[in-house]
Amino acid sequence: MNVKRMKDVLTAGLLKENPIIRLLLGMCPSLAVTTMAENGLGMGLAATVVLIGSNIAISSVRNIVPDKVRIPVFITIIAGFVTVVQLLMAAYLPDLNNRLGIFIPLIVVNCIILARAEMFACKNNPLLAALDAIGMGAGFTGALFIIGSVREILGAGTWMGMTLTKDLFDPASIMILPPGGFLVMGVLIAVVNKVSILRTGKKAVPDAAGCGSSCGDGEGCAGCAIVNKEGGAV
Amino acid sequence: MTQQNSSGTASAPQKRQAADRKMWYREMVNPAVVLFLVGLIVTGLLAVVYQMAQPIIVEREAKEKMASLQTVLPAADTFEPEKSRSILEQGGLTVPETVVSLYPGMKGGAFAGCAVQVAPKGYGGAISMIVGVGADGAISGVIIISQNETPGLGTKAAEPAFLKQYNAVADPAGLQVVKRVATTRGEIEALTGATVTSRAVTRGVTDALTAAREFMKKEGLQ
Repeated sequence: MNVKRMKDVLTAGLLKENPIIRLLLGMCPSLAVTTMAENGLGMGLAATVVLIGSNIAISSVRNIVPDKVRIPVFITIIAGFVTVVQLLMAAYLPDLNNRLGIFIPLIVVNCIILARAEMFACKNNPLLAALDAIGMGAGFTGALFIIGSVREILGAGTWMGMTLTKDLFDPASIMILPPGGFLVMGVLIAVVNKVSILRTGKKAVPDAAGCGSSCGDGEGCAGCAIVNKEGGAV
Repeated sequence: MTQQNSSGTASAPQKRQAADRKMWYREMVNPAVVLFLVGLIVTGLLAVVYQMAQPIIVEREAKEKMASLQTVLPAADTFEPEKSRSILEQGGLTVPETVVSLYPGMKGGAFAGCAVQVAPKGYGGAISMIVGVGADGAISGVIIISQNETPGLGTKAAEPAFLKQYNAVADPAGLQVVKRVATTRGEIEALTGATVTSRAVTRGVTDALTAAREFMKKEGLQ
């Protein structure tokens, strides 16, 4: 295993294979909780903790888990980590826990977690799986934080709870209602695509971007098809 | 999984039997054992974390509850245990529909009013709130614990600017939602775009006040 591969794995989730912007995974909680920057950050960090734990655990047991019971084992491990995170949040971060509410237990069915288990962790060693989880988690958290910030500033005139635009304009409530989530996410994806086209000078092809490094190593592209389907469904 | 055609010295039926057993183990036993063990380990881990976290969660919830009771009824420094709806009804009180429970507040052994938890139905489901009623029978504070109202419109009901309109109101029948500037105490200025929420909160306050006054009258505290 070389350093370049480790670096590639770590950085893939930030932009090239960003779960929100590029893979369009886990849309449901992403749209629902990003009414405030702080909520986006909290949700992203909670999912990252679960992702790191589950990726390492799944990668460690990948050689002893029979293919037949792969999915039940993965889901059991993921649900275990989610419940641990929920209990700890209820004990130490009750405010955030109350605000994120049902979306914390729903991390269990967040496609990002299962998709990374299925696409990456079950085919790679624990170190790479951990790096993948950190990269993906950071990309997820970053995207949620940006969406949450834009929605909070435009929709409520505040940011991280601070009043920013007291008399500049009347906050547009639509931005913190569900349609605002779609608007901001669409614009964010468009902006990121435009910037990467300008920077690389070539058109970013979504399905190629989605496969990225995991296919380049001859691991097959089956995972990508699943991901795209899941991403579309949620 | 076709292992029958591998060459060996044992007779064909014996070989097939051994292969069958191996396959049975691989296909049936191993997955079941692995799944069982994973379930066992995860459950064990959860039990440990639960043991650690649960006392903290319970303690924190109790503290939060106490703090919210104190906020709506600053005159009291301790609260008697919760009197739930059924306890109040057994005591012969007619309790309004939205009342959940009542906490008598004390200061230095004397009655100092009560805090009433109510859950009126708002635009997005029940609004959980606590209303403090002083020993004089007037409202001393209202807070909203949890709600699911429209962000930016109904959620403004939780802000002090709206809730302070209820302070010092003593007559449950006098509370009325108006869609203009309120002129007298007891008139509640509806939130723009959230009339349903404003009415629901007012309903909750009215019910809480009614229950508190009934309770005080019954206990001879007023």
